[in-house]
Amino acid sequence: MRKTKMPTKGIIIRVLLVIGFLAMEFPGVLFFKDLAEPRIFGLPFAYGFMLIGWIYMVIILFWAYKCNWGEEQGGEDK
Amino acid sequence: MSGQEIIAILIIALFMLIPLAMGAIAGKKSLPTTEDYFVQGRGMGSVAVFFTVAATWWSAFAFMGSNSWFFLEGPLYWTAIAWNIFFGIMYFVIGKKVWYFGKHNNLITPKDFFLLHYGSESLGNIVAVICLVFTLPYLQIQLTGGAYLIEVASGGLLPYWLAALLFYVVIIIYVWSGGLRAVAWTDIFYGVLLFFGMVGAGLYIVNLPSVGGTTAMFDFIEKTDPSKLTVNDNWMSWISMFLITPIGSFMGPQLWTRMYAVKSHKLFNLMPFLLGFAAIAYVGSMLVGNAGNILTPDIAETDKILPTVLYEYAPFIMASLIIACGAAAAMSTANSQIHAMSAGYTVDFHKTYINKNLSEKQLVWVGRWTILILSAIAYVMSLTIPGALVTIGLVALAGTAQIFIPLLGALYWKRATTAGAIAGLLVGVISLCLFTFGVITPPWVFALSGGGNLLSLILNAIVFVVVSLCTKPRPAEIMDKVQAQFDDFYDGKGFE
Repeated sequence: MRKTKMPTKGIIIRVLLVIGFLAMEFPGVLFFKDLAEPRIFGLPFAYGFMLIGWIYMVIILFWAYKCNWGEEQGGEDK
Repeated sequence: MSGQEIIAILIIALFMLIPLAMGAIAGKKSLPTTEDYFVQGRGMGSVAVFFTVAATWWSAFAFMGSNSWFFLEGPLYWTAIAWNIFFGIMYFVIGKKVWYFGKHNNLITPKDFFLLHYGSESLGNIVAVICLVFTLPYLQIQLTGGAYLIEVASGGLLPYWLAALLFYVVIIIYVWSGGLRAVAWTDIFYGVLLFFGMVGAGLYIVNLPSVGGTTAMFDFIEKTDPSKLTVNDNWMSWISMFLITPIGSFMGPQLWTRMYAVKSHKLFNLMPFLLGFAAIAYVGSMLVGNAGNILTPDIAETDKILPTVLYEYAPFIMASLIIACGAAAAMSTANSQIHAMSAGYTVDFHKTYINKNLSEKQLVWVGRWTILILSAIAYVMSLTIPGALVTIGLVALAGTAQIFIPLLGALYWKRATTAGAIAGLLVGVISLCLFTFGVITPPWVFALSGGGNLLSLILNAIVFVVVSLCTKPRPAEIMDKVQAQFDDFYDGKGFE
């Protein structure tokens, strides 16, 4: 188990990812489950909203990789 | 035999011969040791890891079942976009730790991991049995989906039973000769086919004149059945699938193999982005499933919506090629499952209980014969047990997902105990069976579709925590050994 403190950047990345999942899944789904309008990218709301969520998450994950987010778990050059 | 049928047979032959050739080459590089045969000597390179993880993770469930669900339930399956990202994050956060312990303790199977962390043979055996029992039906749906696609692609020349047999003979030959190396190499081929097949099929079908593009397609659905544009009361399924599908798949023995076998830890950092990005391929399934409302509104067997639409509306060669991509999805998962189940039986049971004195070479042979026997069982199941791909898949995944709770305990909770892990697993699996077979109706919001799978996992977690708190902690010698390795992990030691 971890004894050292997680770096701040690692915490920020995880918080941003959790926000994404909260919006796309629970409780997010309760807010958009009955919405078909407005359409986003020509898609019904649920589809378009999730697509925006996907873009957001992929950007965060790419940023996380560029920040070397594995470093906090060890194994990277320090 | 018509010209079209000859072309179809040629496409199928190509689809079968390329992996066989790759398997033959992989076989020449193999060493007669269990570590090489089952985890490729822990030397799997980055490209192979990405494709074999992605192709193993995406199955007939994703390629065919998804179309059916988009057609029947509207956006429900679209939660897959999020679960793909979740899967990638788990592979990084948890997979990297599993890899580390595997590397330093020569672990090959999931049972090995639990033996290391809990020191309990009983817990290890329960994990091994769950892996075997719940992977088998998931293997069956790969065979069902793949064989059906080959049957269709051949224009009916190859009946279902023969297509399934061919499907399995090819897998057995290359897994037999090359072990995990052959599986990973062929998965590169399958992974590329799968991604472009999914996207290509969707883009082609939505742009057919009779569909008229995305906007026209959704306008049509809005007029005919507007409930297919929203999630509605399926929100419990939405959440349940988001959790159960990636966790269950991640806990499948085939994915454990793909954590142990990785050569460099650096790949784990990139995998969440790569797997998350690849999730966009589901746009293809979404377009196909929704277009089905216009093109095949009365279809009875909805799992077959993709081949039905393709053969009716696309040029024959193109349809056969895309269908071959679908068979690739099934094959890439099936080969990995057969291989991992064989590793599980050979290392966890045969080596431990039947013959402890076998040499490494003899154990590899046991693994090969196990592949043959498990394949035969799955083949018989595919001929005798019908069922919708996604439904069977979800129950199977909910079974393997139960292992996730004691895994989290091992990695993040010092107070986790063997008794807690065993009690939690038993309650989780038994409640899942009771909910699945309708003996008990899940209460409250869990009565909604998909709720039983999620509830069984929650019950597992509750029992795990409560029993752990009431029982003796794990022995100090186990905890000290494991903690020393955790310390090294967080200090960045032992990664090269």
